[in-house]
Amino acid sequence: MPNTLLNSMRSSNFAFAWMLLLPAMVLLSCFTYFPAFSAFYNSLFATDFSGARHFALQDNLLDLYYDPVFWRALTNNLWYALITVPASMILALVMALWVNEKFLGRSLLRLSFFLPTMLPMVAAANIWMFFYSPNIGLFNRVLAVFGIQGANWLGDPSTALWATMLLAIWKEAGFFMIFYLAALQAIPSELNDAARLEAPGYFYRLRRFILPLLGPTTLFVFINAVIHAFKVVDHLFILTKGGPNNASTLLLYYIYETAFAFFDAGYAAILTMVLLLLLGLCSAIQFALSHKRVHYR
Amino acid sequence: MSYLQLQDLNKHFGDFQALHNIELSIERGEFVALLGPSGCGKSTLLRILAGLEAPSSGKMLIGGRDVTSLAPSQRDISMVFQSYALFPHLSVKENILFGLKARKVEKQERQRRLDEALELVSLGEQQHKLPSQLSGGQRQRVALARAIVSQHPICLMDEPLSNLDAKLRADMRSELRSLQQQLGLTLIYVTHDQIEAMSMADRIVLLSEGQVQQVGSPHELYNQPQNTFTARFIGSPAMNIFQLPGQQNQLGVRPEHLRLSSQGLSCQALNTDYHGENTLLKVALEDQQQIFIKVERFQQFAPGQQLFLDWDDQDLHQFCHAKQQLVASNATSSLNPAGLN
Repeated sequence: MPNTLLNSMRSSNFAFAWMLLLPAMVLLSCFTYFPAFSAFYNSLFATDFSGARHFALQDNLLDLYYDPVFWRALTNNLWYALITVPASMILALVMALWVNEKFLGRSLLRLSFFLPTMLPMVAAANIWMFFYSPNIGLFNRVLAVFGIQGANWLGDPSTALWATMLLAIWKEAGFFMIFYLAALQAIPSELNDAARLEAPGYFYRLRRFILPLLGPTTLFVFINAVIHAFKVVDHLFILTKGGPNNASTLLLYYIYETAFAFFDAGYAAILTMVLLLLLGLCSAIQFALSHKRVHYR
Repeated sequence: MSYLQLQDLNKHFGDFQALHNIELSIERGEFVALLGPSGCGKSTLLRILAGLEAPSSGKMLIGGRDVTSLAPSQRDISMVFQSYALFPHLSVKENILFGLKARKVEKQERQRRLDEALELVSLGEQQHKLPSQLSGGQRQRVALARAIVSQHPICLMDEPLSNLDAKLRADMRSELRSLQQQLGLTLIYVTHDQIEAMSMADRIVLLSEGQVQQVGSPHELYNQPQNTFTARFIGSPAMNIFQLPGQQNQLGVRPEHLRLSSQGLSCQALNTDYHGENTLLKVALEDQQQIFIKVERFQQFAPGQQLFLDWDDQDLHQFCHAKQQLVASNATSSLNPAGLN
């Protein structure tokens, strides 16, 4: 009898398909879906000291509303995205256009543009730590040569966030450049020739020919850049720890602090939901906007 | 003085010399085909004409003006590419107007030229479509229209018909030719297809290994090949070039000019290849040199069958063995095969 069962299992594509899916499903469930659902659940319900569960969404939302650090982190993060996303994308495009031309030392330049991407964020932050440090830092010593008194870049609430943005732009631009470079090289050379014959002006060619063909890449890079702006906070651990006085804290860093420094899982869960909602909204708007404007070949 | 002139043009890619001392004069309104096997340098030459590639040395003049160092867009040249090179994100109309907008041609003038060009290539109804929505032949026409609206006096074409099917290609050949004459274009046309070159061009520039082999009308290239390369390249099947005992020069006779006779050059049949209107017969001379003969309609020969070849004096070409160049034929020394045996 077990033989027939085995046979029927074998002959059934249905069972076979599920068995193929099983490893991925188990891993994803354990490490993605279950934690995600658990966070969602925790944002809705709280367990009090007696062990009773009660609906806590309202309380959580009120906490959120009256939490100045949350609003600080949110506005910081919006500024952070607003500045680093376009800056790193434009820089990436310019670098890609540059190293797509033929000239001596092109490979070296490509490598040096890409180098920051290969460094782990923590390592990069450690390097930049030395750039920013008040007395021995590179920036202040260069400024001192010109007789300018440099600031305490990471210690001053008015510059700390900007300092972290600069690092992020430096780090991300090289990564996005690779996508732009690949897209530029995928443009057929005859199209380039045709554009060069038809249009005398470089910026006309850029605007009417190159940028539209880079549309899908730009969308891809844009979505990634926005996600990175909310997702990558490693450098805060090294540079500022969100400080001084929360001047440079970002949403995800605040979630980390709430969950693993203050051990407030419920509040961290509602913060996570806010972040998720924010990212979902961004993606939806991007796709809606880009639908008409991005041309896929 | 000619309209377009190339003077002592050379092109090197590293150690490889793609073009050797090209000298060429092209008249206004002429249809010139650059013909040659792949890798002969014809496309490189075209790209240099367009300014997409810079020559290593030499000069290019248009109407007496040195344009060698001018950018592609400053040469008043338009070009049709093999892949058509249409901008995939722009409609047919915008593709055609791309250059005019870049050159800030006035709106009314743009519209006038667009309507005219669309009319010429009969694409009026397709003007709002994207290139991906068009057939190969229609894309070809868009590329053509884009070249026409620029109103540049010189147009370059790089194997523009090679991506079309045989029927369409034949139609487009005559259409291109009449369009060129109608607009008075100076057309320089790269092809590896001798039928295209022979049927359309006023003059053919035959290239091989970066060197000009012969320049002349299709008629001249067919009837008076100056060297064995031209003799072998023009005409299909290629001209037979063979050596007879006691003869210093190599002899060349086209398969269509050979006939079977009761006397003449003795040979043995090898095999036949039936083409419908005629049959291609392969024979071997006594010293095993192989020769092709075109015989009419359907004829069969047994392998090994004894045959005799004959030809007219006027169809015989003699080439110097060492230089592979034409030797001026001497009317007095008859090389009629009847006299040889």
